[in-house]
Amino acid sequence: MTTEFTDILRNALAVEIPDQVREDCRQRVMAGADQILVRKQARSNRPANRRLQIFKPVALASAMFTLLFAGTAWAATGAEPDDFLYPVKQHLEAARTSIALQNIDRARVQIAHAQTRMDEIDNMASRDRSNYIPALLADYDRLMASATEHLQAAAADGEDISEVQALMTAARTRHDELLRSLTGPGPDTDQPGTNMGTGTTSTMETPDTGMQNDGGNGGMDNGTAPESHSPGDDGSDAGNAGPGSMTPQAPSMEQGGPGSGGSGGSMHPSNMSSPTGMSSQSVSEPEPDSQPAARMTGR
Amino acid sequence: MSEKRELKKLVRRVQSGDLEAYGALYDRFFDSVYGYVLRQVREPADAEDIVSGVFLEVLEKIDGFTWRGAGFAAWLFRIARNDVLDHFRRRGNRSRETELTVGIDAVPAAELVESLAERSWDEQELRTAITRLSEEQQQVILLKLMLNFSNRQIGDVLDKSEGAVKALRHRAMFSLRQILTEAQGK
Repeated sequence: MTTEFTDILRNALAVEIPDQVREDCRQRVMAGADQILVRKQARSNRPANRRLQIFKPVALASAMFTLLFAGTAWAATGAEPDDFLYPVKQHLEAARTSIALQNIDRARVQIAHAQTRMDEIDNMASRDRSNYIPALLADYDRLMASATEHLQAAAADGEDISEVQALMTAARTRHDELLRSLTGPGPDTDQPGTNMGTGTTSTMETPDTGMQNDGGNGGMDNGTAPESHSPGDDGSDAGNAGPGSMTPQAPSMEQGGPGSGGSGGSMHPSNMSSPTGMSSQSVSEPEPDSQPAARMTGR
Repeated sequence: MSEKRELKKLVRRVQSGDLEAYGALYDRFFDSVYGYVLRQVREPADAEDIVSGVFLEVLEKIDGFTWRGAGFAAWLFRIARNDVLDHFRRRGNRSRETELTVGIDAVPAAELVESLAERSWDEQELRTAITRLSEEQQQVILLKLMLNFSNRQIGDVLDKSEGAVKALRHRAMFSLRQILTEAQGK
């Protein structure tokens, strides 16, 4: 376009705007603008949006926590007593037990945990970490005693406990074998056995709890067990099968303290007077909720 | 502060809901938008309605505006153009195309307008001639001459490439010459 002609066109297109028009339009637009901004503000303040804004960081934190927790939990499931995640494993076990609502389910879960303790004992022994074994045995006792209680309660309720009872028997059998393998030849050989340096008093002579003394089922097969075999008042269960009865003694056992049989920590069968592996003499005060293995890891 | 940076700041303030900034934006662009609209619809009352609608639409949509493409002015006039088109559609005047837009040869635009510049033109006559151009040709003339838009900005308003805008401008000037020559002969 040549400059001259475009200038002519530009001039022709120029518009003169009266101030009144400018002002009228402005008032109209600003009034409308006010409404639009109020509407926009209301839209951004909607409860859903506010909730979303609050929820976002919470959701993010929850997701991170869940991931962290799930990762830790996953890692903890395979933790051994000398691992720093072992306390987490214990808490998970406790949680698993507490979510089992029925007595029979609780017993089943606790027997499974008792089996885990024996795996750990086996592992610790093979890795020459025998100082962990007493507390593991104590925890085994605690679990089995508690499982016995739950099983008795289930039997009293008229539930069929045969399957769980079989699991319990299997656990005890394994426990006996494990002790045998740890201590070497029996008492009649008069061998000192494997010195675990633990002061544990597990015995091989009567290797079962009260339930097994009654023919392997704790006298519950007739459904009359609760009174006659309640832990703590039955001679065979007393002091060793009560809930958590062993737990307070774990540290003193490690040190071979009073009530340990005076062998300075020997696991020789002659020192093992209690059928579940812990001396009733060593039990001063039952602490049902204590976790011996947790103390163990705090070495 | 450069004009562009100042405009960016103003737009950002409007996006955050600043009514005062919106007023400043309105003052800055009202004259050009009003002139652009009035030259197409010719009725001041219609122009006022359309311009008010354009500015309110700007406020509604400004949250979605980003500094991509040819900038804020091009975005604003795109809205204005669409509102004018809607106005004509509502009136049943769907197309402003004329037969003059068809079959135009590639003649240099400068050559076409030289002879036109030699005589004096009545402004009303020129404006009428422009309204006889196709809608897109009118847009090129208006945006180029009234608002001094670059080809890129015009392309953004019309949704065309810069090359297409150049060709469109050439055709617009050729058509304008034909219209004016015709008018001269009468």
